[in-house]
Amino acid sequence: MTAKQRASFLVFPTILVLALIVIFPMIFSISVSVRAFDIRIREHPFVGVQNFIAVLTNRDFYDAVKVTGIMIVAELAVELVLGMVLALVLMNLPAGRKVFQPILLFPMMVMPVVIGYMGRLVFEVRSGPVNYVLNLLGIESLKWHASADLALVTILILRIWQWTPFVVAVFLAGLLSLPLEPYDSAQVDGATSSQVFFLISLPMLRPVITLIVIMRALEILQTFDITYVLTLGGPGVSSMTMSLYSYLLGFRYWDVGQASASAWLIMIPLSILVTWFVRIMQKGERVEETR
Amino acid sequence: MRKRGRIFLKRTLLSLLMICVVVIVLFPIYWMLLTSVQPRSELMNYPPRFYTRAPTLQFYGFAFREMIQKFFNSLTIAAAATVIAVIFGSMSGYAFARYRVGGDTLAFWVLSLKFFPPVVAIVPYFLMMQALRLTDTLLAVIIPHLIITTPFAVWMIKGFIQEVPRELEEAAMIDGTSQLGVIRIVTLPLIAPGLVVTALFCFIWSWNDFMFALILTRNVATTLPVSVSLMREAHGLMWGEVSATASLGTVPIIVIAIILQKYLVRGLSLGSLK
Repeated sequence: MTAKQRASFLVFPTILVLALIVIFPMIFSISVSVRAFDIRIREHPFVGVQNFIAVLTNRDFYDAVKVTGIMIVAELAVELVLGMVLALVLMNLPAGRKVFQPILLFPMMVMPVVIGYMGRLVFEVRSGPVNYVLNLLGIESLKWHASADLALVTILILRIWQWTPFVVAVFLAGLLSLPLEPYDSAQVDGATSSQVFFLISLPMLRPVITLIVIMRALEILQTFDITYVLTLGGPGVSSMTMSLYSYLLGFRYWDVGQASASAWLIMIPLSILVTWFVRIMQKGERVEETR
Repeated sequence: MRKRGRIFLKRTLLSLLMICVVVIVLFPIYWMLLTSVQPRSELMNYPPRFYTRAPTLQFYGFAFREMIQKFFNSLTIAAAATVIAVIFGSMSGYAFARYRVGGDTLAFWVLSLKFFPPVVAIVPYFLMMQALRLTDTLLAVIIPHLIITTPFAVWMIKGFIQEVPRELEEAAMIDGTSQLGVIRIVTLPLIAPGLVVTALFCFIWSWNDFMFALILTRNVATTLPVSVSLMREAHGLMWGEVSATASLGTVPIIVIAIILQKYLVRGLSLGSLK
């Protein structure tokens, strides 16, 4: 037996377990999604693509798609810009970096359920600190997560609060790993700092930006916890995300067939993003090997 | 001289900006901790007070009485999901790193599972656990949590092993050490910090998970995040009690995060950025 064959035995248990806990449920889920599945009844007749049609002809589903889409675009835009600005600020504060950076990582480790609850505390309508500060500035209290106009904004604020520090940390790592020579020659040529940023830093950071976009989009696409705790998709469907919509179909309205169908619809954009991410990782691996 | 003055001014202004940012980052956490130690009479008053004159631990008393079981549920589930993942991760991480078992395909398949969305799995897991009569047991939550932890552990440990120069292992092999001996004497000690980092991340992912625990538990095996979300529904305005429970679930993770700070970007980007 060669060493490689022996090594296969090391991989085998992992693959077996992963197949059991991932692939089997996936197949099960497909089978549920093509049945009229009522968990109170033993028989689950085959209905073909009817569950998919039911989801795709439901206006609420498109509202959920819209909300999720808005979240991806808005959250990514704010996090990228804010993250880049703060990373550049920290680049200019070499001494302060060690103090500020550890504090910045607190929010992304807090459980999202707790962040939803923190949102209830700080955005509390009658006596919350945010409305209090607004009142001090002469602005009337806002209803935040309790109003259809601001529910999504409130969730976005909390998520931006949680995840911008991650983007800062990634950008900072990226900026610190850039080669110094282009900057030296730019200085010799007398380039302005905005020229340096847009013509040198930004192009060199492109792979980092791509990675951030993919990873953040993957996470935003699955937004569930904060929304569940803070608004449960409401008021109305103003903050209904796709994951929450699928959950509610299955576990509030007990239509697990439609819930599975809608979950598979989330899989479509998700698998595109995952494929893209894996491609990039594969390229990185090959570069490392040729070195 | 003037240039140095300008740099000093710039750094002062930027530092002030960063201090504002830090205040914004810390404020919600501070506010939750404050709510958890305020006496009931001070909660939700207008205007709100940004400190307390009479801190009390009464809500932590509640949290320890009512929630200690949930705390241990979370702890057991996260510990089990972590230990299993690190064992699987070390075995296959080594095989992937040194022998490229299954070529690229298999390793990258495992990597892509890290992104497997729980929302696809909740319906089949709910039905399966009911059929197996496992609903509301710790095991019912541990099993799906392995989807969250195992692919991550495999991939992280593979990366850490690749960083150990192959020559070190070969040198020990020439000295007549067996392959298992080499792994034990050379490789394991070198990747030990990496294993700790991987384990701590796995622990956090499992500890913070909400979706699986929500659908697979009722009242016996509920975890802390689920308890926090249920308290809202059951008791309306128990601000102090919920804050104390939420703090109990948050503070240990922040401590772990401080330990992990050097590896944070690497862990969150699955090793794509080091």
